[in-house]
Amino acid sequence: MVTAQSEVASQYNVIGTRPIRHDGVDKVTGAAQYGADLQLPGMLYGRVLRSPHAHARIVSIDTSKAAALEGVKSVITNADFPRASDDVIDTGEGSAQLNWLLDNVIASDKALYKGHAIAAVAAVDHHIAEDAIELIEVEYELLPPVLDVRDAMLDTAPKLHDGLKTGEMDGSKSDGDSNTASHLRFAKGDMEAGFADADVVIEREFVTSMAHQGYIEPHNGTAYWRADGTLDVWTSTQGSFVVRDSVAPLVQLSPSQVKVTPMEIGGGFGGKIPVYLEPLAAILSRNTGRPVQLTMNREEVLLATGPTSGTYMRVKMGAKRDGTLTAGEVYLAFEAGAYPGSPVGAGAMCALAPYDIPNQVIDGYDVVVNKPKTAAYRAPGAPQAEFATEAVINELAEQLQIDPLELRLQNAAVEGASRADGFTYGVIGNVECMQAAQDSSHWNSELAGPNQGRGVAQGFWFNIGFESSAYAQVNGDGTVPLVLGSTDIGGTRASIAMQLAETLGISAEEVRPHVVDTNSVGYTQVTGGSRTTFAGGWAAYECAMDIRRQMAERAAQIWEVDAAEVEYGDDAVIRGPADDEGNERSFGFKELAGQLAASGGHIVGRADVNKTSSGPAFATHIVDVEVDPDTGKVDVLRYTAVQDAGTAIHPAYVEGQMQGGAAQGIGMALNEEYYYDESGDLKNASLLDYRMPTALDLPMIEPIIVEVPNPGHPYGVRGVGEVPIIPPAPAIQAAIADAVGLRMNELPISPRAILEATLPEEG
Amino acid sequence: MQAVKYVRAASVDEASRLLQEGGEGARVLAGGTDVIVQARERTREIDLFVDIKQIAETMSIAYDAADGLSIGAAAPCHEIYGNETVRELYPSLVDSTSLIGGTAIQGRASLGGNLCNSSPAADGIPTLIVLEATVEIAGPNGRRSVAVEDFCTAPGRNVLESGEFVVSLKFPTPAAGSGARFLRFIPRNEMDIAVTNAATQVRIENGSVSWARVSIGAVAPIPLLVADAAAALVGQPLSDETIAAAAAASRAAASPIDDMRGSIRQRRHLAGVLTERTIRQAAERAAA
Amino acid sequence: MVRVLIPVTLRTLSGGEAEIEAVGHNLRSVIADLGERYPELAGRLVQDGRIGRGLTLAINGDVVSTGLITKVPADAEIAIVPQISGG
Repeated sequence: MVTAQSEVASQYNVIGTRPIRHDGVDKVTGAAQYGADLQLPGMLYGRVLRSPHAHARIVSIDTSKAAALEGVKSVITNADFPRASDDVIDTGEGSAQLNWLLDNVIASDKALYKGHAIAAVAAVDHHIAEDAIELIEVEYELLPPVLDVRDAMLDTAPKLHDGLKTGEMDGSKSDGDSNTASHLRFAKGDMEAGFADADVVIEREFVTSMAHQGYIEPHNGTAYWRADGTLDVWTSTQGSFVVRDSVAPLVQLSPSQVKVTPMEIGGGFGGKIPVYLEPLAAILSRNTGRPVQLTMNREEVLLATGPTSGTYMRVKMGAKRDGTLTAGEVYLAFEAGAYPGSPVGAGAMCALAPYDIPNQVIDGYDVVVNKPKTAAYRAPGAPQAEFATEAVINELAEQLQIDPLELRLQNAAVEGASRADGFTYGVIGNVECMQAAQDSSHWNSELAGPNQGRGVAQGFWFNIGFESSAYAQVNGDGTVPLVLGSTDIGGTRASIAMQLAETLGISAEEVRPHVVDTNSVGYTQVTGGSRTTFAGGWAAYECAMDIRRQMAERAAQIWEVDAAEVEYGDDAVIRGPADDEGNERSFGFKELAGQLAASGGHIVGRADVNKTSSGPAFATHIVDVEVDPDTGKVDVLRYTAVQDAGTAIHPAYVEGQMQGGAAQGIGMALNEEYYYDESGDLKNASLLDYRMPTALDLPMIEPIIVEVPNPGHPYGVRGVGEVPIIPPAPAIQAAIADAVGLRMNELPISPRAILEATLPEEG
Repeated sequence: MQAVKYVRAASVDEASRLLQEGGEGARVLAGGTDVIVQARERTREIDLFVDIKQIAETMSIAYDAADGLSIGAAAPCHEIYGNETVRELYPSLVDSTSLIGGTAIQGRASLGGNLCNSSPAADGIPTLIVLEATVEIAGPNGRRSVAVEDFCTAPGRNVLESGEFVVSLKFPTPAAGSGARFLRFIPRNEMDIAVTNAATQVRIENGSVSWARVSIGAVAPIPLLVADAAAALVGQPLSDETIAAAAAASRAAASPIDDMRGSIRQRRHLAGVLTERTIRQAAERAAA
Repeated sequence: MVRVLIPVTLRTLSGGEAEIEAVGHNLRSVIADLGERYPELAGRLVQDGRIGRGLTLAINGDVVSTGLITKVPADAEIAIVPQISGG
């Protein structure tokens, strides 16, 4: 673990240090309030009835017995909601079509996956609510389920949505109905010439499973429809403004009539951006006049909240004997779940992104299937697409007998290189990560025994920016409360507070960050997309600059001089021109803070920013594994994660993101999958059988932070949260190939998969 | 969760009476690590928990050289593997009890509960089988003993009649030259459910295997005692050939299903692999 | 002169052209200018007074976040990409 200050950090006072996070004490003492901790007077408890069928027409729903049960106060179905339009709303990380969003929250004419919400009840306690659910009678007409993306794309497949046609980027649509909602294509160069130029061509097919974000805290939502017709919502969410802007149209209120208070959140990874329970709680509260709280149990989380797409992919790549990559052709078919909107677009953007390949074509297909609607999961779409492309690059390296890091360096994208989707790179740390990996002690160590192997892979993620707000005021004692709209899923209270502190020249502890509701701070985009330290930090920087200006002006007023003659120094000393006796005049920050009230009033700084220069992130991961050929078990022996953080504001939390992302990527690689039977019943909807790695399954992941500062940010920040989930799967796949000569092109590479691939038929 | 009544029994007779009166909806509560989850998830209809932990006989762990080891049915795993005598003389019980659930679960979960839950994949039962455990049962008609390999009858089902419950498990004194080992295969390192598990006890006298028991689990409706595997070992020194023959016997005895936790081919193959590994490691313990 | 790069899948609307030159001081006027020659393309790029559904524009590599009024420097390069998302 790197504890010495980096070269980049040495130019700063607060940035690059490791203060204790501001929310730490509350979290370790149990005082932090998560969504399910909320208790309101008169609160009712809700539960949801869910479809037992993967694909069925809903013929009728009889809620009368449930409504008659003593203690039940309201029972609702889709019919209790206003009609939703097909308008599209911005959910910050993409968009949602309102009628589909509502339909996923509570089914209208069809159940489209097992676990799809059909009805909801509110009762005086959750035992009665559970009993009430069992009294709701639903008549279904079963329909054949579509469970595999390739099957779904066939013309003969049962269609999930009447009237859904395949849309192209130019706006044209297919003639007939389809389960393929959209197709996109990126291309550059000449594919025929590119492959003709190659000495070696490798073409492979890949299949990956749906995988869930796996946050330990299940979803929750509490709503109170006030007598004056406004709505209060409390929820554990990554985006309180997105919740507001989703719920308001669904219940036909204006966003100004809805206040969303974000509670502390126990993990999100993208999965806690869509709304599931909040609209139900709102309507139940409207009907009863009381606050209503709904929570999910783990089974519901796995059945009915967005995993990331399962996929079918093909990659064909050509290279010259000297290792120059000449052409790359990528085919991506992503499962969107029951409604369109898989991350295939992002996957397509990232697929070949680390490399400068002159001839590329990437086709992506967004396909609906009878499985839960997918939601963003940490670099959505990229772990899948880059698994396939990195796997082929590793296989090319083996065939060409070129070191896999050397091959990558030879073809690495650098500043000025452009991708097939049209973006040109500015300053990036792609090569620097590969070089740091080459220099690492891990890469230069020897493997110890039989059945051990080593693999390496690169990852790219683009990172987003967009809107953030920060307000702060200066207290008389020199402390600075900072008001944020960004919910904290990864240590961003600390990283944003640190950037404010750095700019003002005070300590991180003197800044007190608070995450507040949607009425109390300006519009803030979701905590996701690796944007929060970048954009929230920028807002904090500008807010601090605003405070600096005002402090300097105040000092000028106190000294009765021109404001232009006063300067706020980076050392938090405000200096003015000498007085009549020639004495230097200055105020320390605390000193001036103590005089504000008496000299004209308090100072409040504010900033609202909307930035897009977020700077992409690259990562290189190295893994050693040992395979037990008799059982197929793969043990991760050693793991090193290299990543360009731009500037690591709080290195421990950057390391935490690197390790957390790696752990999730390892889970996707080795054991995480959705196990469906033929009827579309998800059999492993529990954490016993949906196998995420625990601390007992992983070695310490060694993080190596590379810093190539992002010129598009005052402190050089690049987002760090997402890219680390991308390299683990292809690195592990390559390590297994190195260990036992087995190249597995389907994820997860479970012990069962390995044995099925290696046991003789009669075995 | 269902509204479940709770009552604490002060004696074996009281527990038995409460269970009989409670009928189908009454369950014994020891650690509760299975039944509480079943009640919450409504996979079993339960309306009465009869807590037996106040009855000393169900919680004690006692050993003497003549009678052997007696473990109360409700004694939690952490007390079992924390017991000096168990660690020294019955290390295969340590193998099992330190794998059931996870560390936190082991603070409450019991061997008796693991047995009575009667899962084909139970991590306690193959060890009980190879250690020749007997199950001491109390009921309205008094006491009876059942050999542990006869206790389970089908997945989740066993020989207990209405009003009956398991009071303790008894194990003979370990024979000279004996060693036993339990292993399971799971896709992760801990806190998982067995894809396949196995246990073996061997007794080695004058260089030859004089006695053996092999048990495999999660590959049939109940944990199995594989007589053919033992027969392949007994009467000769341990060798790669006899071990391979025992493994083949385990594979032949297994009748696994295909489900989300494992395939037929995988489980059958693992039955053989774990048989081989438990034989070798039991022999190492016998020699030590 | 501003260069607008047309991705492969939009070239059906640009008569097959991969690159179109246009003039304008902001996105709205640049698109209006190219719309004189390629009305279908302009119709896709601007819908309901906003940047077309599912599309994002980038000026000299920087993603646009301020809509059609975003200023376009002379000699800028405008790229058209699908709307992006994260987690």
